Amino acid sequence: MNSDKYDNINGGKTSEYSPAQRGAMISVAVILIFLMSIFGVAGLHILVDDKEFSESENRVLTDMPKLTFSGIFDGSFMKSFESYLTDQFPFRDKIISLKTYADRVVGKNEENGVYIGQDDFLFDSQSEYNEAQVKEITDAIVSFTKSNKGVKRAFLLAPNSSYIYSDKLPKHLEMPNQRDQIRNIYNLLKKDKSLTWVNVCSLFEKSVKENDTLLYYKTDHHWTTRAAKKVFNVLKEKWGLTTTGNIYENVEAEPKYNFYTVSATFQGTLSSTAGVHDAYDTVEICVPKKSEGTYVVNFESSSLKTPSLFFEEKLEQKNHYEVFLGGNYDKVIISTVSQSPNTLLLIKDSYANCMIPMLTPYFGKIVVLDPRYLTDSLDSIVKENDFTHILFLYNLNTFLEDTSLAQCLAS
Amino acid sequence: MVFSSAVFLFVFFPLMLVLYYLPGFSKDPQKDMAKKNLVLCLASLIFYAWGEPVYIVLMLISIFFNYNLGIDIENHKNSRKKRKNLLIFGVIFNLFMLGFFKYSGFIVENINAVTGNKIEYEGLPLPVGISFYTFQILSYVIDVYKGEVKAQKNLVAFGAYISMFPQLIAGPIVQYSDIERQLTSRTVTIEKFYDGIIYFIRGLGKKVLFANTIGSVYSQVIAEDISSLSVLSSWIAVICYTLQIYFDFSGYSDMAVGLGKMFGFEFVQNFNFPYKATSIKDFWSRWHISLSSWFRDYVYIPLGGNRKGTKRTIINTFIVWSLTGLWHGAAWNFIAWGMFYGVLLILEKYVLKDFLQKLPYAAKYIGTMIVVMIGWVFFSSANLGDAMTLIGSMVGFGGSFIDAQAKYLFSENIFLILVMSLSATGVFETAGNLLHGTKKKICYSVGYIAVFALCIAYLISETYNPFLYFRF
Repeated sequence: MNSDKYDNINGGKTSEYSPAQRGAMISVAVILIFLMSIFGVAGLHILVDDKEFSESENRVLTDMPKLTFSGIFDGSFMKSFESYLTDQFPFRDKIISLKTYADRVVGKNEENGVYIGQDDFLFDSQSEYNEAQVKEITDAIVSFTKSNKGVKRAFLLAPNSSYIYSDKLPKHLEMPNQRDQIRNIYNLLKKDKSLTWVNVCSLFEKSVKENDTLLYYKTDHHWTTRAAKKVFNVLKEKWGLTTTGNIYENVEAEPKYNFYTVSATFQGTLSSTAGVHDAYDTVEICVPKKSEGTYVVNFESSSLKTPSLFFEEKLEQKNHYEVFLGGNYDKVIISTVSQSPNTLLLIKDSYANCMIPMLTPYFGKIVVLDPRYLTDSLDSIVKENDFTHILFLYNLNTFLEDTSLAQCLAS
Repeated sequence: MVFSSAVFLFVFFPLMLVLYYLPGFSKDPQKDMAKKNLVLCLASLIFYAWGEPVYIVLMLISIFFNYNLGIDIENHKNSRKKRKNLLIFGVIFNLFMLGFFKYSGFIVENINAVTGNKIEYEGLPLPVGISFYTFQILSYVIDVYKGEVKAQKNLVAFGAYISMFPQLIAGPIVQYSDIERQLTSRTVTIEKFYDGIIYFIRGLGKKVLFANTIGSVYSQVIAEDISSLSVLSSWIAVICYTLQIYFDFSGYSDMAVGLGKMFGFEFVQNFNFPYKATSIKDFWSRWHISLSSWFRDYVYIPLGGNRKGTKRTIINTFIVWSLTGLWHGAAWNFIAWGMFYGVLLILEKYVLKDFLQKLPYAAKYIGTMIVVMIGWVFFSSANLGDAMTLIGSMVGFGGSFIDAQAKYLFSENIFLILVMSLSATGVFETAGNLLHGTKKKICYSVGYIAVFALCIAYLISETYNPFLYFRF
């Protein structure tokens, strides 16, 4: 019966081969394909030059290990050889995309702890809300801000994209309600009655409803510059920041801001972690008009001084978000020509990096501290400077995870 | 080394194939076979030494000791007493090797718990496959003693039997009598090599695509507080583990059978759709068959089996099942797991026999599967307390029946669970039989080649390791 069908393929003529012969031919074909694939990989390994660096994984790839007696004896040679083999595997990146694709075909929306949402959105998992730890941090913040009574102080706590864009999460995936968590934190911080607070959740939820702009990168865990600008606008109003008495006053009554697109090919950390490279993000910078040459940025730990808050060369590399401030540093001092008597202490995580340029027209000096890298004592920094404003800027995930802030404030 | 690694698939195995099939040393088939055995033996030793190089000494000692022991036993044909002493010495030696590496920690721990002493011990890494090859050695020594097989005079052939890499790590436990002839004469045909490839890819797919994927779901759920899992979450976890252990273990056996075929061997079938079983006895005649047969042949029957009355049969059953449990791991929950099956088998045989026979097929099947899954809870848990907690959550002590986590787990994994369940119960096999002849072979071949490609993708992805210094 079956052989009839095959005979028809040959135009109705009787096939030259018997079913047994055809069976044998298939066997030979499979054996050849199998052998070619296992020998082929070995061959390609030898023929193709080893790569030193993986662009997509952002790390140096393992080299062929040196064959030594001790290396074999303690097994370290075997381990390095295995990583060498898999690191230098032919078409490694393509092969990994095949896997993530196959995962999604069978309904898996999670890779390496990153959730693959709708419309190319990638999401980080949320940090755990540990009540004791939150209490410790908020107590430290309150006692620090209270000890700086004459200074204007504000706290900005941004939710994460998995909360704001929760409708894009994979089906049935429920994450903790960050609005409630942020409200709890706010209630603890209210012990300092004159602390300025911006309700970022409400601001963003309204924006989502009006669908006015993208607030978070799809492929990265940061907020966009436009989201930061929204928050900045509210802060400026609440603090009543003006340019009276500084050079901007002569230029315009209010400094105007321009947005410039600096990258349209950004694939951020979530994209890298998941190994999913379907979408690109656009990175914009937001700068006050006529701001060129208006400040000097001093990276104390590396004694680097530059006249720019932007690092163009980072756009050649993997992580385009580092165009802002070049990454994270323990302590950066920005001196502006605004002649404003205001000085700002900014204690922050990387969410602040894209907002810093917006702050420059209003402060003569900005001291930016990242407690995760800071070794200097906060106390002496406060004493050395006569701050008029203190701003905390965090995203909730870092705030909940990071213990260095409490340590830094307590010291 | 494991089969599901790049180093095995793309370096060790191709090299081994070339050396094994390299012609030209001798036209004499006997000498050619000797060369093949030598390649097999040396390659197996490298395979063994890959993960823990020092232990190769252990393997060599085992090979030399038992090689001489077998010949010695045979040389004392006329002195029963001498032979028996040699056998006892040999069994004790081999069990000591196994006991020292696998059970010393467990024994010291229990002595400490009972006496209140604090004897210190250093946990040694377990030599790969020691549980498997010790049992293979014992089958050889005992069979030589009983005169059922001749002692192997060729050290290389003997070494190849003990260390044979396809089944070294996870079985099947090949009894010497099954393979004796193949050690000196075996052939490979195109068809056999083809079958070997198909078996191997099937096993690789079971391990890499099924077991590893579903296993990560299980470990993800179990990493949380198991006492507050919802009913549905805990059942999903247990179902995932049930599927994982089957596909992992039977996958390994399939790969072993496949590799064996490619070198001309025929190993025994180790699994026969255990999740189609309709009774506990049926389950154990389908699960890890080579282990059950080993215990039957070398423990249960020598103890008298079921020929010495009901009481003795029950005692023998208990001994066998406690040992089966202990063989799987040095911890009380494994012993509990073994005893659990001992009790159930006795109940099934003596108490519930008539009742069970009257049950409809579906009830028998579902009942068996629930028992098996509860067995896996004991098997998989870190200790007896955790096992009881998880069983508690399965019946609703954990809280709600269904929660957000359960919904997400369900929607993310239901497709995989369904496909794997159908595969484990042989539905695909039956469906495949609707096809015939050349067409069937083409479909299978194309399918398995695709599976092989996917396996490589999953294997390489496991090593995907982005460095995120810019994580913050």
